Amino acid sequence: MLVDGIQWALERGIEGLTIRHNLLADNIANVETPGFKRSDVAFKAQLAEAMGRDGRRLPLAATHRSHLGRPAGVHDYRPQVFQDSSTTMRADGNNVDIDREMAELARNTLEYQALVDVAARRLALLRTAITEGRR
Amino acid sequence: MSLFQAMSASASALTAERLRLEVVSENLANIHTTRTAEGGPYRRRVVTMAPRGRSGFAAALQQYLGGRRSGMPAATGVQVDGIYEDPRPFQQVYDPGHPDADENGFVLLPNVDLAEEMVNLLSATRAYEANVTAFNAARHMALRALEIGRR
Repeated sequence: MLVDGIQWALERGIEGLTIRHNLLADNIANVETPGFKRSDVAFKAQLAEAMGRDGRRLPLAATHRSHLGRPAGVHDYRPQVFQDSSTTMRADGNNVDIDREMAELARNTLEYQALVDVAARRLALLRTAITEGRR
Repeated sequence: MSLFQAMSASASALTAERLRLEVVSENLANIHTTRTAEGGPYRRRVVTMAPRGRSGFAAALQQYLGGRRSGMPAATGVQVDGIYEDPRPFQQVYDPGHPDADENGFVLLPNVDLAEEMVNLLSATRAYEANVTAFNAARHMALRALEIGRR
């Protein structure tokens, strides 16, 4: 259970949200820097593709390269960090919209807490199985 | 790439914004100063900011260590690039009773604009608050992650 697709996806999701939080903090830190362009990370589409073509079905547990049903994308998964240099918010070339960054920050924190919660609950299930239901 | 980098980026912005606040306070405090050590009235000071450490060895190392997975430099925050003097001309006010008035009765006052400084004060305060929020969010996230497997 610890090495199945859901746990892998949870870990990658938490990792992606951590990268996202780093970038949002950097954007907010540079809200007054002339010429600064905001960065963001796109990992959800890549993660969905790595988990299966359409992102709706989960891959079979595969621990070896030759196992059947192993999605091709799992080992090619890379979060894509990009810089948005197409827009400008102010006359000095900065394009950090502080309202948007704060809203994204709040959403990112909630998503992170949700994923961490699910990961903790899955471990609690495992612990129940290990202790045979006794505490 | 960990949440400590986000905290470091937010902390660098707190330092930079506090310096901006200090310089605005200095400008406001000297709004009527006509005698300085360099001679003449006080010149308004401006803080310029730049993204922190995106070049050089440390950045390259961090890019290799932190950005290897994501293929980009890690978040590094902001730094104060320098404090410059505002080159705009001084205000000229007619006040013949002033000890620093010239033979025509004009006094040169600092090129500090009260409204401009208040706007800068507000924007620095708001930016400071935004970074405190970002820092607290990172702290909460890290604490939640520490709770995995605890119950």
